[in-house]
Amino acid sequence: MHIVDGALSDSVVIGGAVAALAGIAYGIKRMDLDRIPQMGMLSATFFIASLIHVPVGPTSLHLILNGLIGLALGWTAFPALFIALLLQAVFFGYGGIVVLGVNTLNIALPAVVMGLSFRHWIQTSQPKQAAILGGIVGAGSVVLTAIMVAGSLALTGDGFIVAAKLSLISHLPVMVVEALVTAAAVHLLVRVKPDFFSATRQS
Amino acid sequence: MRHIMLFCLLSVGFMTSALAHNVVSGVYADGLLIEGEIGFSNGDMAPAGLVVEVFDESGSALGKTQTKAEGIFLFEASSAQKHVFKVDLGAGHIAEMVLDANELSADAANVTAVESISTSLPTATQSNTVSNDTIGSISTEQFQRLIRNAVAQQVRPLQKEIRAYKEKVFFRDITGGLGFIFGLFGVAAWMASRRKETNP
Repeated sequence: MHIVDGALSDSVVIGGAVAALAGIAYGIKRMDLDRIPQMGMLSATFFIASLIHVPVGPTSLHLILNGLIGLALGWTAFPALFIALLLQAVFFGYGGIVVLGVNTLNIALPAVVMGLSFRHWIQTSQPKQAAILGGIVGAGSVVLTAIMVAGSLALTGDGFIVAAKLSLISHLPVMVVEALVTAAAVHLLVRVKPDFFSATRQS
Repeated sequence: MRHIMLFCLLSVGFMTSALAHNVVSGVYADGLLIEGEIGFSNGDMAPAGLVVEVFDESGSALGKTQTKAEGIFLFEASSAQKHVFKVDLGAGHIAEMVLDANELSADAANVTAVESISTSLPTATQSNTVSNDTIGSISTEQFQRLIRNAVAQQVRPLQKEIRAYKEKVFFRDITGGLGFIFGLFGVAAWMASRRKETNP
């Protein structure tokens, strides 16, 4: 999921950085005082979740949780994820500083898209239905991230179909786990903490 | 928010306890003799009599061996191929060690490399078990083995230390990263609250 330094051409890196910057700036503009602790918490959750690698078959997988983050934060997912990704790159060498923009975009944009389109629906649903929707958001965000990763690689030169296939297949187990985790989290949060998803004074 | 705080605290707590009981293991080759070591990250070594299963790269079994005291086990490889060692320490602890083929040397390998070392470092051999007057009479093969033994002996505690160190640093980096995140969002909250004060 994290693309490493040197894998992408300059134009992709620059384009990603500009788009990510725009997203971050917009996210910061929408930042609400009451939401900042939640942002920090979810940023920390993402930071930790990516570090816990669970071996599955020949590979290992880790949670991304961008669906849940998108549901909770909307546009402010951009700065929250950017900070977590920055610290991962600095401390553990996941991804890299140069491709930080592309990685932020690849993870945050699906979060925002899925989160904003399902948020209202989940808020007004019964817990069971909300859990199913949560699962869709979880899996959908991973799929979108996988496609965007493939897209970034394809723009550099690899054939898109090949890259997309590889990327989707390697993300398949994550997708399943992510759907289950997000569904469980949404199921719980809708009942005990419904305003987790409600955007009080923002979009 | 209280629920989320609690959840976070709990999950961090679980994580530390999981890390504290990690299995620490390593394998070192000495010619075709493989020596391994299993213990826990808190310094305890694995008990004697544990079964260590040995597999090759494709997963077919090559044999079995048992741990001796101090969590050490020995395995005589039949050829220089990739070896995978699996140990079930019980209570959900499984150690898996991989030794690549190039770490195992059939004795004929790399003779030239060792020969060049032996000529360039004549003083180092004096402190080894070989005394100066017999050095001319032993074969390159024996000589090579002696060097390998000596180096393996010296390096072993270092490898152990590095593994323990890596684990410590990893955990410290995680906590450091979390500190950064909370700090940064603390600053953001502070700035946002000031902004609110100045133009409500």
